[in-house]
Amino acid sequence: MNRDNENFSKLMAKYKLSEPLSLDDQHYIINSRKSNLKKLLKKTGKYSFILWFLSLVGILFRNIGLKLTFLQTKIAAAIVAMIIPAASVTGGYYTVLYVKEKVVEKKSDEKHEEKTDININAVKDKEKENFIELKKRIGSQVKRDIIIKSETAAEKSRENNTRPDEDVKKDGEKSSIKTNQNKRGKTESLIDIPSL
Amino acid sequence: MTAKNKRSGVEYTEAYMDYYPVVFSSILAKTGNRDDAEDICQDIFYIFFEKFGTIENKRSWLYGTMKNKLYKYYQKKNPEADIDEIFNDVGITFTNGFRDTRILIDEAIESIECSETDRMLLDLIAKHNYSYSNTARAVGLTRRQVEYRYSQLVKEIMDNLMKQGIKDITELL
Repeated sequence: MNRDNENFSKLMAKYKLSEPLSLDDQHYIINSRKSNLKKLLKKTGKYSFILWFLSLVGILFRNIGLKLTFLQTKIAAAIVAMIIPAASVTGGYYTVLYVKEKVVEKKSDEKHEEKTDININAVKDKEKENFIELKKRIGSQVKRDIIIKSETAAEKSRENNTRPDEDVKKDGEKSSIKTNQNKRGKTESLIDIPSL
Repeated sequence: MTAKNKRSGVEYTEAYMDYYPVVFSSILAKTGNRDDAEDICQDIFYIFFEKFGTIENKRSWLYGTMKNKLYKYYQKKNPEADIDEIFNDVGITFTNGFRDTRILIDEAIESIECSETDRMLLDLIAKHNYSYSNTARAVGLTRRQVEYRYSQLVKEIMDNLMKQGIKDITELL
């Protein structure tokens, strides 16, 4: 089949029946077709948006290999005209929803962050309070200890103050022991032992 | 714009889309200048728009007007130009002795029964060496469809040539 096509092309060329055009020219012709049509319709004064829209729909279907009649073109144009706004409205709606969702998400994130900040601050404050309380408690305990100590010390000192009579007595006893020991020559070390 | 006008507008657009590549290609092949070819093509399609409702055979009207416009174009450039020589390459065919065979092939091509789209396929591929993909874009078919339909057309032309007594096409090459 392809061989026949090749031979036919050769035949056309040999008998000067063909007027070959370069690929560049072919592209130029096909690409300039639509713009030249617009120019031409404007030149004739028949150019209108509806006609151009109908033509574009026809061209669109033609480019995908479907040739439509006038009625079919009209129907297709109506469908396209219905689909475009519907699609744009749906698209717009979903875009708004998406944006709204994102904004709400962002806000909730911010709130959550704020909440966590507040929580962290609260925890920090509580910790601070606890620390202060602890500090106070420790301080009061220390004070109490100091007081107790001072009291015990005072008691001790009081005790010490009241002790001399007893001490004297004891000393007397001790001295008697001492003398006895001196006498014995062995009790010397016992005298140096401080009294508790 | 009334519905009738819209209808004719859309029909005109369809006809323009169909014939524009064939007409432009023929003019460009003759003039060899894109700008001149574009101007002539715009003129032809402007008149085509004006007379659109009254034209019965669009193809022959477009080719006839094109010939007329090209004649004027050549006359402007060279008043002594012979339009027959430009369109038929008669001089070449006479000097090479191909005239009869050429007429035979021409008749074989013209005598096949085919649609307007098929005729355009033949014009674009066989006459102007358009690639299958460019032809597909020009006529609004797929590449496969173009290839298949062109092969069928060539087969039909070969059958016509066989009826004229040419058993093998290679005899003519």
